[in-house]
Amino acid sequence: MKQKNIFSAVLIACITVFSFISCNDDDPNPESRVSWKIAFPEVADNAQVVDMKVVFTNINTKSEYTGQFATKAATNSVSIAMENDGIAITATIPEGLYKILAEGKINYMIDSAFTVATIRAYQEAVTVSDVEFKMQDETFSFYTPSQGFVFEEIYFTGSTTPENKQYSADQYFKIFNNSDQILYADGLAIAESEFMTIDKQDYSPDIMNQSFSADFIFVIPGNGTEHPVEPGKSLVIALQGSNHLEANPNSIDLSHADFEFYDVTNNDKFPDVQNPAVPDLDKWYSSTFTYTSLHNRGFKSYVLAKMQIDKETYLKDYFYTATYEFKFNGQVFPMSKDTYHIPNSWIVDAVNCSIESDFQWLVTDPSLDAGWTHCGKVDHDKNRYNKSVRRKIRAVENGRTILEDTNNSTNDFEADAEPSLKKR
Amino acid sequence: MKFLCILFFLSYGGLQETIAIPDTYNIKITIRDSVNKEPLFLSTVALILNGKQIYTTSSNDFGIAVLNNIPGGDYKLHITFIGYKNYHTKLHLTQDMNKEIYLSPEVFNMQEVVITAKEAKGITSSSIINRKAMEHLQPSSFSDLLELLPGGRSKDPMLTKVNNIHLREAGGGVSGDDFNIASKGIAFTIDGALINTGADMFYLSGEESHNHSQRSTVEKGVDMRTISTDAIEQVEIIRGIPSVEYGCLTSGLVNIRRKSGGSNWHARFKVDGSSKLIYLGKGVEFPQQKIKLNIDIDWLGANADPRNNLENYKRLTFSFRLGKHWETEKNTFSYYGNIDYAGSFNTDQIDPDINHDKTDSYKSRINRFGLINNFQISSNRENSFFKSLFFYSSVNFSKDKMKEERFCSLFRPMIAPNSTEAGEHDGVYLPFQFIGSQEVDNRPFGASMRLTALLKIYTGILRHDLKIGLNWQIDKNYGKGQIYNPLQPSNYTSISSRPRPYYDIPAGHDVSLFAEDYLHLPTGKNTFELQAGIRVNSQLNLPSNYKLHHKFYIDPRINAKWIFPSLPVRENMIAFELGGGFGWHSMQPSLSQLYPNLIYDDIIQLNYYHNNPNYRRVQMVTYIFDPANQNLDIARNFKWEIRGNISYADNDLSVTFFKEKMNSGFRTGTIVKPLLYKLYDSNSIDPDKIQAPPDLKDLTYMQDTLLRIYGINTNGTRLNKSGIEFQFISKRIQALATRITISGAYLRTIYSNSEGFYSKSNKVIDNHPIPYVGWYKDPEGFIRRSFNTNFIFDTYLPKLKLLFSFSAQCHWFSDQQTERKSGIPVYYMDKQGNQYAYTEKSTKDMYLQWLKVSYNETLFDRSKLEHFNLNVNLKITKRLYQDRINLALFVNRLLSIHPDYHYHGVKVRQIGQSPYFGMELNFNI
Repeated sequence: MKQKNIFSAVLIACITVFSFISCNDDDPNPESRVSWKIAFPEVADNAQVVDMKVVFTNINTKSEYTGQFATKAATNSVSIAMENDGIAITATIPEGLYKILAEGKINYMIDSAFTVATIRAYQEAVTVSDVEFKMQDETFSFYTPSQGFVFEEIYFTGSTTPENKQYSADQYFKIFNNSDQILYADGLAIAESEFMTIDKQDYSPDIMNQSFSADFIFVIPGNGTEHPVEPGKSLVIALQGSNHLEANPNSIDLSHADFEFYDVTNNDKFPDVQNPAVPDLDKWYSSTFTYTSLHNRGFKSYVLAKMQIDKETYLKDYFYTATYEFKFNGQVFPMSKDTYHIPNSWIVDAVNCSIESDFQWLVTDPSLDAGWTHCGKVDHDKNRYNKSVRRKIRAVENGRTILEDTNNSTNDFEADAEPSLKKR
Repeated sequence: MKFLCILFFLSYGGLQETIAIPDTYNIKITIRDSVNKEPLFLSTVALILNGKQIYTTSSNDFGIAVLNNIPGGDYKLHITFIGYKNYHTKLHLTQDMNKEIYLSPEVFNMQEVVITAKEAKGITSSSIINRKAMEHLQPSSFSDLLELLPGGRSKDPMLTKVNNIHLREAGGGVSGDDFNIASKGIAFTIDGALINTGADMFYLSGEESHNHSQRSTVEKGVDMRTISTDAIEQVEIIRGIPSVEYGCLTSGLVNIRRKSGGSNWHARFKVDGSSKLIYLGKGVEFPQQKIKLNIDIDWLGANADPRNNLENYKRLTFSFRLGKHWETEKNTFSYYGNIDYAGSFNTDQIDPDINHDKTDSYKSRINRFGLINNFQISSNRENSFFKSLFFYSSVNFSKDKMKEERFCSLFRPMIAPNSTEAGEHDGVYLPFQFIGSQEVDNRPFGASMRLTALLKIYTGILRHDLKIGLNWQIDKNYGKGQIYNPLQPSNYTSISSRPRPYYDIPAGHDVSLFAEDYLHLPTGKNTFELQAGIRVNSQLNLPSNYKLHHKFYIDPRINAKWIFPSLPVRENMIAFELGGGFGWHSMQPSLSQLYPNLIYDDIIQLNYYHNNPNYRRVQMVTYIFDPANQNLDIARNFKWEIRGNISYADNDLSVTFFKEKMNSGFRTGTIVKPLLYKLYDSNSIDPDKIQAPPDLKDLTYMQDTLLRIYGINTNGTRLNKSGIEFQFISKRIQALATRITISGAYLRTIYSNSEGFYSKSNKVIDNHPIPYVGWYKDPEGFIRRSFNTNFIFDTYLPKLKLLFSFSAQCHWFSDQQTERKSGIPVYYMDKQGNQYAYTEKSTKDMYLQWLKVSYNETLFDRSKLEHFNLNVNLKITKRLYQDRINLALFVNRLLSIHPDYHYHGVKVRQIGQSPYFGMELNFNI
């Protein structure tokens, strides 16, 4: 990673030097003073900039004009100033057609604790002219390098045996690279929601517009480039990576899954088995000391997130206590929950699951997922078994499948779908 | 007491002998009820000559009154008995007479008809429930009688689960194993014999279902649904401080006296919303031989839900009782022998349509046999030092079986609980499908013996009724215990012990000595009574390392009563009484608490689940731990109360204020054990290259320690009760033929713990459980309050032979408050057993932050459990065909008022339950 940074820096420096030379020599255009205000994302309005880089690239000449906030190693032509709720960029550059990218890291507060996030603002084709050129104000978006990974399928219901008994160990996720470039799954987290979509509570403090409360977080191990995923390809992540056909002829062979959830429980009552042929996920957190399984009635939601800090810091600092009053049958039960939260800014995909008869709310911010999908229609629906939720295909371009991703699971997912790994 | 009276009268009769003159005759009169032909005990017989009452006596137990050596002549014979019409006749005495006289029940002034529990006027607070009240209540089992206690309320019978008694507990008590002492601490005696429950181990190992916990009787005391009420003559429920004669209790005593004698057949057929009951009883008397026999048979069938006959409960009881008396000039000897059987059967099956192979079933069969032999010697002389000697003995044996079968279909690979030795070994995977079966063979045996002598001495004007005695009881279980194949248990996920025969558990012997002085001090027109006693108790046959070994516990109990002189107000007298008392009540732990099962803890070190089943290996280390707590002590309750009674013209008001404090109730406490284990790393071998299950030598491992918290039996339960009980019983208002009874109670109960506990977080952080446990001093309890009042209007129309009552049962409120707790451990312990104070810094640590338990601040606010509501119950009994048929019906919640209310900004609609009704037909032939 470090090497890559140095390489980029050298490259940028060369390009910059080269562009100055070219400016001086080849560009007779008059200079324009460009100003651009970019606000921080609404959920991070009091953010502190840790690092910020702005690159103006002249589309015609390929010249780049760069400014950097933290190091102040900016050229005189581009400067970045901190403002209350964002940054102000000023650049003195030759008139022309530009693409402009501002990218950086910020610190902001979620429930009186700091979190870090990567933010980005981008303008594709801006014609810079006049002595003073004021660009339209904009707002940063959160951004992670794993953007492009999506849930292709979640099989949370489990299967049934020929005797019609539940068999739930064959649950799995499929994670899909929906971008047009190779993405690395290293450091990608899969988390289940702490809250349920069928049970709306006034959790206090309410941080849902900033963060996702998780009841388990498992992370794909790796150094950053160990687990490449080709565009249009997916990873199978099994709750238990073994051949479930041994136990249940109606089940699935997951003995060749890419990863499995392995829980070192040391507990003979609820043991988890470890398949040496299937790599284990790194279990950052689980709310219970037993094997992990997905909510098989589909009341929980799932997210994919790129963890942006190291495990130890995360486990120390991202603690979340929610209090609420559980009301039932005229009774009020004051409750409290302790868990971890994942900043929304780290989340690359989210899927809410629920059922029609009991749905109450989404347990993610609507910006992450504005809808929900399901298996079965009512609570304890016996018809839900052996079904999964699968993302719809939007297009196939040059042999690459592109999945629907409008951040609305109601539209993006096929509910009550046939599990893709199940042999008919 | 009645017995003493008869002795008095008999001896009075005997005194006549000394003034006898020749030409005298003996009169023997047998007095019976004209309806059921039952003998009338203590009816007054008087011979009147020239308007003067010259000879009087009373009838004995058999209704027989004897007047010896009466000079011949013309007399008037008067026989009176409360509740019956007076009998008058002329008597021309010229020879010995033997006469049988039938008294008709009084039909106009029936002050005696009491259909509620009556506050007894004894030395401590107790409620008396007589036959009449039971007939009107129409109970299915003993449980239903509790409605009549102050603070009680009618409940629909729930006969498919264990019915435990709760006295003086707010909101009717709580369930929860840590508060079992509340019901276990209430002793039941039937005809003087204690019902032993100390050897009861009727549960299925590992069965964690809610249904099972409601069906298991272990540590919960007597299951009241197994007691049929039809054979009962009278029940006395002592809520206050019982005599030191009674032990093995912490909070109350239920004395049941069954019917004795009579001559009629009784039959009862009852049907209500969930059960059917048939009863047949017969009494036989042989007055010449002074023998009384009684037989009662009762059958009850109940369903959890009338629409579901798969889950049901059946009860079959049989009782044969014999009473025989011998009389000598000085003494009366009595023998009472009872043979009892009580069968109690729970069955639960799953609908065959959804039950795989019809295998899933649950059956519990309790067959309890009892034998009671009681002897009694009573002096016939009024002023003798020796009054009487009682010898109570009972033996009971129960042969119980519980069997569960379940088709088990595993969700994932599971490991059989089959390890029997400590150390490292390979485990066995259970098959994915099997028929799991588990059974328990429970054979509790109990015997008890009590020898009580009553003596009387005078010191000055003081009369001392002394009671001294000895009490011994044994509890032993001869059952085979839990029976299952460890490779096919139905509760494969929760078994932490291994089968052990119950007969290996030593017997428990409980020995007590008691002495009591009941002192009467007449001071002018006042009377002062004091009952002061002491009970010394010890448990024998214990291992010497137990704290209870050779230890004696002393329970002093004192009750006192001051009866003030009655004051005339208009034409009646107003009488006052003030009483109170205090005392300690102890209970020894039961066998399952003294000798718990060994805990087997298997820690998995490797769970290598290769794609080739032949190469799989599960390896574990087993630790065996004996959770017996040698420091286990008795549970002890201190109780005090103050009572007041006012009576005026048959109107009675009694109020009792009480406080009970127990800090040593039985509880499952905690203990921490660090367990060493190896965590094998299977990455050190290539799964594609192996040809056999991995050899442990090829694997690297990490040595680690797990901190496990186990439950042990301790004395950590705090159960504090306080409250005010009241009862007002009016005179039956002549014009309306109605009596008004108002009874109720304000109760406050603290359910909590008196000791700290270890706790850990269940969270898993960075692949491993949190490596610390915390020690907390927080109270894990709550305070409950409730206030109930029942208004009963019962109307007796003798001409119509109709008795009906309306009972308006008001529940004013009940609420609960959680005791304040910080959630912060006092200290925490690491894997090496080191203890560190938990500080502010700890709350920022990645692991330690999880030991701080956060609570919602509003948790500690008082919260409502039940808002005001009112149920009106109707009960009717009607006698037909010369009182030979008694028809009765009841409708509970005929009217049910459950008003809406606002709570925490939410409008709460209380949903009143629908009426519950039943009918019954009684024959008395």
